[in-house]
Amino acid sequence: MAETLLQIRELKKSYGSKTVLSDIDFSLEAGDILGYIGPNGAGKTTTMKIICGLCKADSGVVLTGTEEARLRIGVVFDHNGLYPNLTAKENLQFFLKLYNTPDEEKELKRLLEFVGLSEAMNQKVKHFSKGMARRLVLARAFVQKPDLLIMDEPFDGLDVESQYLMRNFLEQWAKKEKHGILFTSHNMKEVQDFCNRIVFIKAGRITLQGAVDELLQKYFRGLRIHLNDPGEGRRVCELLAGLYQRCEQKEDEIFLENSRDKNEVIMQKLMSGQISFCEIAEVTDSLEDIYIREMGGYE
Amino acid sequence: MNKTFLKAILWKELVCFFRNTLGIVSLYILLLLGTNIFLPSLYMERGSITPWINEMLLNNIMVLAATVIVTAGSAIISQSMGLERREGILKVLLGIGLPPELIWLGQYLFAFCCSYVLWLVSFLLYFIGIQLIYGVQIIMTVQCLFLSLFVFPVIAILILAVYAGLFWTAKNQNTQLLYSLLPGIIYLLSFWLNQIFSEGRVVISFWAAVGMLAGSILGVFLITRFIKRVDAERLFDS
Repeated sequence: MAETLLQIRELKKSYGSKTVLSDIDFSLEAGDILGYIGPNGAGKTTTMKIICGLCKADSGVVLTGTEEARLRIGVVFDHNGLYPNLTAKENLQFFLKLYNTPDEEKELKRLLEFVGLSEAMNQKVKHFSKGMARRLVLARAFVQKPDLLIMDEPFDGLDVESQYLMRNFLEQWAKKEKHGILFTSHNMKEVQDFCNRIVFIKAGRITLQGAVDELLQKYFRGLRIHLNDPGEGRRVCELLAGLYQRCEQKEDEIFLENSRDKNEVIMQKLMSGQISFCEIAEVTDSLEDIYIREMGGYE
Repeated sequence: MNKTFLKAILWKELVCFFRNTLGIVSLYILLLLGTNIFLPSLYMERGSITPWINEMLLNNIMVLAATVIVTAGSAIISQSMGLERREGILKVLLGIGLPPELIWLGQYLFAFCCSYVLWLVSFLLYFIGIQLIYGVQIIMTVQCLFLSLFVFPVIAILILAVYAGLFWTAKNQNTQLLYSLLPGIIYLLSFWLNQIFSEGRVVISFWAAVGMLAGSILGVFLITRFIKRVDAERLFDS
């Protein structure tokens, strides 16, 4: 059974008469990368502040680890929180000293190499580009070897290559080493690629949560068949009559709107009907489509 | 763990001081020193020192003692705390579990110790300045030494702690700006303090001074406890 790294139960928070969070309930297991997604003002940042102890909830429980062993939490907020007149090396050195890290110089070198900032280590942070500063912030989050990472738009400002490298590293770190990441982003493609679980929050309430794979399967729309001979399109629709709600052909592709349980029968009929096709793929709503539907359309 | 945190914070404050604050604080002190070194030209001539003039020069030392420590200390505190709030660093430090009272204590301790060192440097520069410009040597008294090197700094321990506590709990930059008027008020008060001490109306015995020191340290301790109870949410504008 996976270890639970973070448990949030019935979390409530109000500012005066305005309810910011209402009955927030979710958990994060070891190995999870959980996307915490919602529009601006939904309550994401407030939730993260409560988890980090920057803000007190009105009621509810936040547990990180167990009573006996609290987790080490690394944070990456939307603001970098770096000392502008200190160098990259000095910014990291401060945090290494906070944790009394043995072999400080060695660890410093390792962290700077990991984020590709070895050559810029003696440069003041105020001269850094946005992407360089973000990478330094990621390095800082790993100073205390955290069990759980809380990340608010961590890849904002990174170039494509850096994003790819960071995401790969974080996925390995979370999944293979059994750590956890709680992650917010406005980029749904990034969330779909990076996270294995998501929680949608709107106006302080959770509207949807679950495993990304399960959600995508739940929002299955149909099959796309790529025919070798576009002329066979009509025969396909006749052959599969009764197994779909809608059959639409566009050039050499046929889209069948059907329910998932019919997939196997459809495949058998295509094979027995000797229909020549080069590809058959499932069509699901993207996470972005699901999100927009849950949030009630574009604002 | 607390000692480790404090050491790290003091290290960081030292590096930040040299990078951020040294210039402006040096400017403050030079202005104060310059005023106190050149003001005597209103009542003294080069090469000539009378008991009255000597007393005036000693009074200037005591005014400097009060103002240099409070001015430099409050400038260091404002710069340090203000920077951490503006850049979002404080949020990160609290987010990783650093106790707020330790962050505050580290910043305050550094500010006081640094400003005391700056005061000692100013003290020496004042003597050298008077010697160079007026060609006279100030005759130091035990009372002046005691007041300027011990009593006024002890009072400054508490003043700076109160200032640092107010600055820490200020909800926004406007309130911080309001509190930064405090050093100016202290500067004016220092003339009054200097007056009552030099006229002998108040005489501080050694044990009274020790008592003041204990009282100041207790004050710092109480303020630290208060900082611990301040809601972290109050420290952020959003």
